[in-house]
Amino acid sequence: MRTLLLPLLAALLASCSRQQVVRPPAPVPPQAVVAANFEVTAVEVVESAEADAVGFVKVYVDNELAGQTQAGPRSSERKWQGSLAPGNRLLRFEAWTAGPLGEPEPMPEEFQPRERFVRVEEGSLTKVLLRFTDGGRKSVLQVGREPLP
Amino acid sequence: MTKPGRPLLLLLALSLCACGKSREKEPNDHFTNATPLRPGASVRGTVASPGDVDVYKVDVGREGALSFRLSGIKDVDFAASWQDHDRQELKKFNETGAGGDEEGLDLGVSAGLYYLAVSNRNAKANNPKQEYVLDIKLEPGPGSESEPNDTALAASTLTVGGVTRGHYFPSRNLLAATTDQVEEDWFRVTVDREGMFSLNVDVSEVPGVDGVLEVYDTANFYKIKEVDSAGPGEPEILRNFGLRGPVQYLMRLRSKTRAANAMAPYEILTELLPYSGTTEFEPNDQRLDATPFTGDSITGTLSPAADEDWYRVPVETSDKRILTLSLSALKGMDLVMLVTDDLGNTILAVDNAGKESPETMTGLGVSTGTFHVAVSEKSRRASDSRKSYTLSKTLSPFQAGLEFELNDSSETAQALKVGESLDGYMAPKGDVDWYEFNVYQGADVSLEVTGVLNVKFLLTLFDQEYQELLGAAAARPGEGVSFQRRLEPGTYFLRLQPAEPGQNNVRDKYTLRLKAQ
Repeated sequence: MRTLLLPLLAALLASCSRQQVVRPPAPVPPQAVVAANFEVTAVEVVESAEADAVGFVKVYVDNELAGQTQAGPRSSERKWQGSLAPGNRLLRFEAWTAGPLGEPEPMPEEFQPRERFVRVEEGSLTKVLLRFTDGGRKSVLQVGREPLP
Repeated sequence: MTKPGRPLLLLLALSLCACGKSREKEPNDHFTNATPLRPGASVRGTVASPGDVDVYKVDVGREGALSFRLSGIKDVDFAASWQDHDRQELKKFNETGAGGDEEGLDLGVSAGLYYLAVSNRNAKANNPKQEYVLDIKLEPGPGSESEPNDTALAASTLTVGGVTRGHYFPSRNLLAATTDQVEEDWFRVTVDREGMFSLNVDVSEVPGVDGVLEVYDTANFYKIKEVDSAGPGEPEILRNFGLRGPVQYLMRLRSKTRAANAMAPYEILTELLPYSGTTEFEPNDQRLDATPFTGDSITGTLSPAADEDWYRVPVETSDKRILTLSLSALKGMDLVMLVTDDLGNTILAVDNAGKESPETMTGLGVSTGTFHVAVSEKSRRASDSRKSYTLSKTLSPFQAGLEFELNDSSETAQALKVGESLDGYMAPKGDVDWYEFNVYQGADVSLEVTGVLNVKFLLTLFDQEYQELLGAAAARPGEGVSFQRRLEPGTYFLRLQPAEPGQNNVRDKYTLRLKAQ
């Protein structure tokens, strides 16, 4: 009987020693964070609570879609931040609002903010404030800069 | 006829005349023993002592306007007073001094008894022999003022669509509750019909009297309008007073300087017309009361001095439109226009020309909204209720190649593309036009502005950071200006302005050309 138990115990012990230790994957080494050097803030002066529908603004840089602000009430400050290569950049903004059925649709072309160049400088945060009035039919663009931290 | 017969005939004639006038019956110093008198009759009387009072009881058989005339007596300073059958004093007269005649006009009466008390105000009067003559007259009531109409509550009825007569008389209201004793005639204007109407009122001239006409609402006697554009001996005219019937208004007519005239009556001629939308709808003296201006033109008058006429211009299309306004000239006046948004914020002040010249707003870019136009006289002293101005407007679709005002600042600069041209006005006075364009590839860009009469142009180019790059001036007024410059990709701004803010031209457009070489 003893002769049977001993080999069995030895076999069990041998199988345990062969089990692999599972280790968590090594953490990814931290990457360098690219600081945003460009910020667009869109806001609208609405005339009533009913007019304060959801809207957002698409941002095109040098004729390419670079991003869009978050969607939110038109009277709220909706922002988009990005990192643009320094230089004189051609910016175009496209305002979108909720259509009759709630689906987003762009404002008519004649009411869209006009295309214009904005200089993005190295070491500066270029801030563009896009202020809509008159039901979104008029807009004023202000450009400001502040040093990057 | 023999000579001795002549005195006899004269005596007979005199005695016949005397028979036509009855005599007072003394004692008649109290209403209980008043001398009876009928309208149309005359009575003779004397002032036996300085304190003598003669009371007459006038039995009026019908409704009308009762008047009296009392001939003067040497040394006696007459005063006379009307009382109703309850001896309530209605109107008091003391216009003249010792020896003068007294007169009382336009007492509104209905059938019944009225009392006239004649007294003397001169304590030293001593002329018991000389007789006075008192004449009483009753005229039909309708079409006449009805004294005492000295307060709003006692206003007479004004005949709408007809003539109402009255007098700036007496010079003082001796029964007034106030110390200034202003004599005033109040009238009630009633329009029973439903609808919108224009009321025109002409108050005739009265020699020596400078009339003032005022309009009050009946709810709280708030003065809505005052007409005092003419001087003494001239008529006063109220034009295009808007009424939304059924409605009542009150009018007050008074002499500005206390001058009175018992001889010449005033006549108030009223005309009530259905409102056609082609005239102002007074009172439109403030934005909230603006007259709707939906047609092509509308007429109005500026009276009294400092009158301001507001018009509401609705724009119901969301398409871009160009609104133009033209205002005709008025003799002796320098008219100006103010254009505001719906909240009253000033958009444009139009004062291009001087006295007796028309004014023009060459173009304002608009889309859906409500705009207001206020027409006024610059000095705020001149007025003329007889002459009307005409305000005309056009609302035409915007077309590419036209200026779209307001483009008076860099913030509201109008977009332009290289290779395009644009026509615009350097108006109104003080106008500055800003344009904005993009250069996508570096190029030599030429800018050219054609000249317009009376304007010496200054043209300035700015980069996208609003740094001035280049400036050029026309050699002289009426000449164009241009320059050329290599421009790198970027956004540029162009400012066009006259050398002096007063230079403008509402007739000729300039053309701005932007070309890449």
